[in-house]
Amino acid sequence: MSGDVTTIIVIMMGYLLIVLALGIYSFRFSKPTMEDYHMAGREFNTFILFCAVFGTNISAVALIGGPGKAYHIGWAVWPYFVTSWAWLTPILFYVIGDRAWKVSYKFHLITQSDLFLKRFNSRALAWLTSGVLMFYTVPYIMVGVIGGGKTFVGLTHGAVPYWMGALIVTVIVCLYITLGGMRGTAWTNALQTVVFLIGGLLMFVIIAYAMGGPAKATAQVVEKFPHLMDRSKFPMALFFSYGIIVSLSVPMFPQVYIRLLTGNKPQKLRKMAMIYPFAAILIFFAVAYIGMWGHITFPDLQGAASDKILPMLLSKYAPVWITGILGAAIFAALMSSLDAQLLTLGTMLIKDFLGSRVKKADKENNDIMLSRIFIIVFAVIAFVSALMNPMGIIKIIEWSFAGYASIIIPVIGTLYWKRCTAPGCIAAIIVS
Amino acid sequence: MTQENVRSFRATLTIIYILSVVLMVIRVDWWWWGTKIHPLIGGWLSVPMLYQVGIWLAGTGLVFWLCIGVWGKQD
Repeated sequence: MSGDVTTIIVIMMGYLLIVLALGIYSFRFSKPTMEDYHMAGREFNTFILFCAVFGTNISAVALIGGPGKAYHIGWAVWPYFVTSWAWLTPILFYVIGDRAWKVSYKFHLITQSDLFLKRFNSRALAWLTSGVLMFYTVPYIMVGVIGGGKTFVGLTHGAVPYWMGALIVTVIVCLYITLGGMRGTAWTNALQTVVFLIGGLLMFVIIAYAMGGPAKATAQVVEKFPHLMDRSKFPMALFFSYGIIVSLSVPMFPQVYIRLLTGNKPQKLRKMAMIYPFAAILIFFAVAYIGMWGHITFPDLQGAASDKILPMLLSKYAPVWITGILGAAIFAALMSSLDAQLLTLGTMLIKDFLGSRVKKADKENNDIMLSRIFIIVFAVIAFVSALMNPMGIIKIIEWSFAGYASIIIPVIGTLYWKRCTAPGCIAAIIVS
Repeated sequence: MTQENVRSFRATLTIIYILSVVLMVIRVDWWWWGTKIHPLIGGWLSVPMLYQVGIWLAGTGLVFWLCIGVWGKQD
């Protein structure tokens, strides 16, 4: 192992240990209640709320999948996400988040299933909703684990193998979620969101400069790979429909929906919605051009192999210590979603499937312990699945997003429509 | 909140929702799709790219209109 690779590994491990320490430190402020473990006592201010929601939303898509897709289809990756989701999702934060916050605060609700159960008293609808959400979340968790493995491989030239990279990320995330719960994930997300937003911008500047500037890099793309500029290999129908699906699905990500309810006032949600479009364009604009320009330096990557383009470019163009620091930014993006997804799966399983049993026993400590055990079980499932190295990251999330979007109509109906019924919601989910 | 305020908020929300739908449709610039693109500004940004920035700006404007004009007053 060369000295450069060792330096990169030391810096990245240093960052991961800082995140772990922050997550564990948050444990000191926790109370032994389900409300505190899963909702952090609904106490977040605007900054923490923004980081919790945006960090959870972004995942490995931004710094791994985004550049990987831009490598194949060009600059259109940023409008693919940003000219729909970046502004339509904040509008939906008002439509859904504002009212859901008020109802959930009043009745101590956490998940979408809780909402259905409160309104219709239909266990069948609650179970169906949780089942659908869990079905689509489990593969989505893999995205973070796969991203961790690929980042380690790309930055260390394979000195840290894929399985080990994936394992390191999984273990660290598990450690701080099981101890810190929602507060642990939110505090670490605050750090990680700042790190990946600034890191993404720095990566753009460093890589563009190393390639002779945006104009020179783009001129080479126009000459050698014109399809990356003219979007001829990007189906227009996909651009249209996926924009709608992403925007509708994000507020229905169980991990995002729960975080929308963690602000201490609805006004925090409003302020957070106004920051959202700026953060979204900042990160996706940068990574899309990096991915497209990466085609010049590494022209032969096939399929999901392009997911490693960002670490490969950093490794080639950035000084060693910067590569280590910016590698940490990639981890920040993927871990900030991975932790939220794992915590949410634990929350749903306890609240929606084992809730009644737990209430009878009246042992909140047991609930929290059970949540921790389930989080570890889901993490193991995600790790093992990621070792099978399935489709590329964007393929996985496209599949999951479509599933989440199926819940939005019943949720809007439940919040706004007096004549909405449980059978109607069940039919809507099944048909969707 | 008075009845008049409620009507005003509803009217504003309806306009915002309609404009959202319009933006979601026109963000697909089919007239430029697949045609040869040359950078226009700084040897880097092209007309379709700037058009997409315009869509983002318009969408962000809707978010601010909603947050300040409806949500803020409603709270």
